[in-house]
Amino acid sequence: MDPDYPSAAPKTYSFEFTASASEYFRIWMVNLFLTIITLGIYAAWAKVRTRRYIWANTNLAGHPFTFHGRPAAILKGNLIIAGMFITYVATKKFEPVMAGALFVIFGFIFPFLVYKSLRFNAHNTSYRNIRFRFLGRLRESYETYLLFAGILPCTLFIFFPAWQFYKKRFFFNNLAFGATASSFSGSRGPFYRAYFIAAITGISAFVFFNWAGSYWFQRLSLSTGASPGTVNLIYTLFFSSFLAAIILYTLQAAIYAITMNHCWSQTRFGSLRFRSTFTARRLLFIRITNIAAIVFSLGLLIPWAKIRRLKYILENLSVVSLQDLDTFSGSPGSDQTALGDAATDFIGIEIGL
Amino acid sequence: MIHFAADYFDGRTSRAYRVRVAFDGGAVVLSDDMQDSFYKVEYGSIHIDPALGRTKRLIRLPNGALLETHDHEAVNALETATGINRSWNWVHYLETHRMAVAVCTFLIVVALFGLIGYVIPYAANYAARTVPLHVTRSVSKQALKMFDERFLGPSALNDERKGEITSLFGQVVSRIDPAHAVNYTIVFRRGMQFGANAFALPSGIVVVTDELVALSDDDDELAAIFAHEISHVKRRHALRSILQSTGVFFFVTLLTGDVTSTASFASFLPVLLIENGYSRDFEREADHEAGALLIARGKGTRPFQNILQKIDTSHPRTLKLGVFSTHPETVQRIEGLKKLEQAPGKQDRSSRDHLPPEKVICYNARVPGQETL
Repeated sequence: MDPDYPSAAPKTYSFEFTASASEYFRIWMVNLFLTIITLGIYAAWAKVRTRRYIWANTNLAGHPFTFHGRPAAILKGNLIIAGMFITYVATKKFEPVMAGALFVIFGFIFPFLVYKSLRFNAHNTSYRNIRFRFLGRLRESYETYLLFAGILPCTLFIFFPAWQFYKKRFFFNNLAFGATASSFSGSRGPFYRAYFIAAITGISAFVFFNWAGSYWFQRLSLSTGASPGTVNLIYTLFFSSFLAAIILYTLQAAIYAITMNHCWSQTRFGSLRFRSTFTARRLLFIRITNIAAIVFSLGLLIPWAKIRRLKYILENLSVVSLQDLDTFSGSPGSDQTALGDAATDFIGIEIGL
Repeated sequence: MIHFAADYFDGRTSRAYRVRVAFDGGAVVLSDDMQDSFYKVEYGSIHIDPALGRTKRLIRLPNGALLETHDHEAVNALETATGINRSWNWVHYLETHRMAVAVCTFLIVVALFGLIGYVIPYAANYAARTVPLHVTRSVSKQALKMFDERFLGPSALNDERKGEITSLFGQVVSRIDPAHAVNYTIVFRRGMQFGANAFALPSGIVVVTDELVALSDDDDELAAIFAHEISHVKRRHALRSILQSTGVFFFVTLLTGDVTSTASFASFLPVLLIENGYSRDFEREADHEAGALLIARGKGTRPFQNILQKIDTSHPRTLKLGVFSTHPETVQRIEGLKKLEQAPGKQDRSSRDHLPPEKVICYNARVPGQETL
């Protein structure tokens, strides 16, 4: 127990997410419009507005979070990432041998981008005018995203859940809210458990749906008189891989729930800790219904789906603290460019929240 | 005089102070509970975050402190009085007016059509011309190698027949793309599961299957097929389709924000439909050029129609893949050729974006840099 507050009982503060789907829809639509007519340049401004909106609607004990990222910095990052992307695609199509070399080069740049990105996101987030910071070292980023990622295939991917754990540890163990640094005491166990459950569920779901699908395709081929050979070919080409993609994608929600619950519960900022109560089942349900909603609305429900998921996650997250939220102190921060920020969004690393 | 209440955060601790903010036209003055003013600053040195939905308004002070308030009206008045954010509030105006959002939505649809229908194809066509010959050669060589390993067998045609067909091929090349005749070669293979088929690789290699040669009744039918394939090469369809797919993918990624979200996961479907739409456009173009050549030689499009029909019948009846197909339906292609014969020189592009369900006439893995019949 913190010696400064010997007799205090810990208080619980819940996150409150006040974003509305209709308001976010309008912001999203205008962003989309301006991004299209500026052929992508506005994307940086759009991202700042979107983030500001999401952050500003995330409240803890009556006060919102604030996003401070600057569009010009994000634009620079976007341009660099777009350049890398185009180089890679062009090389892959036209000179596949060279693409391998390029992939290795990007592999060496990537940990740097992750590091930059984590710093950018943390430094540009504040709560009660106290900035967050990311204190992780570049060296650890290279260990996690290059060394461990590199030895992954040698372990036949048995090491994969552990690698996911190291990535999360890199994030949760290196944060600071003002002068208060975080500590993380998570372990690999829950990650192995999450991936094991996901693998079992995924394989059973695939076997079942694949069987049901092939039965249906047989019926279809009998009724149309198409040759079974061709039907089987389309079947394997389209349906099976599509099914596998959907299952893999939805199961990520379950993995997210199990691992993130663990990560939050093992993270401390001084005497402040977190409690997270989101469940794999509910997140899985949200993801499946979100996909359906987006497909059937031709994309118009994208904002609604995003708000819905975030609302569920944030409202199942709370802070338990002995220390009053009023008494954290700040520390002078420094500005970072947005290069890494855009990089992670593009390459797609989940970094928390 | 503008007055409002706000939360003041000094940036040193997380403590919130309730303050009163006053603006008299020159300076912003902060006072505490006891009405004592403790901070005063010229309005020129404050920064107000542009309005965003109904979220709290934020004012940044030069000493690193932050003011948070729900009083939108007062902050709007402050912005108007000081001219701060004048260049930004139009975005907020768009976002908060239903009519403006509706107009944006409409314009997005228009812009997307323009982008997909014109900007991307135009840019891809331009970019395709900058790809050097040695690059297309290396791509084609690899694609052919892959086909030989996985799908095709050695040709059983005798050398005499091969010679005849090669010289016919040379004639068609000299009619369609005489300037680059040296780039074109014809290779013979057994189609195996491809059956009667022909396809072109971007460097000018045209692969013809024994089954197709057997299926054709005369040279004009083969010439029609060659013309179609040579046209694909001449117009750089393979490269353009690669570049167009890249463009579409890139734009979708940009619009959905990132590649891992549910939105981008769901966007694979429209991307597929757009790409197949491009592919069908290219097929129509190649059909048109081949048909025009036959007409110019006084043969009419009949031989081309015949061979298309025969190829269609030679392939086992298949499921209708609708808009998921890379080729227009054979019936439509034949219809297009008939129209061309009635009014040569005018290409039928009326049905571009509104196609009834179609079926494919040939199956094969879609390989970069390959254009099938």
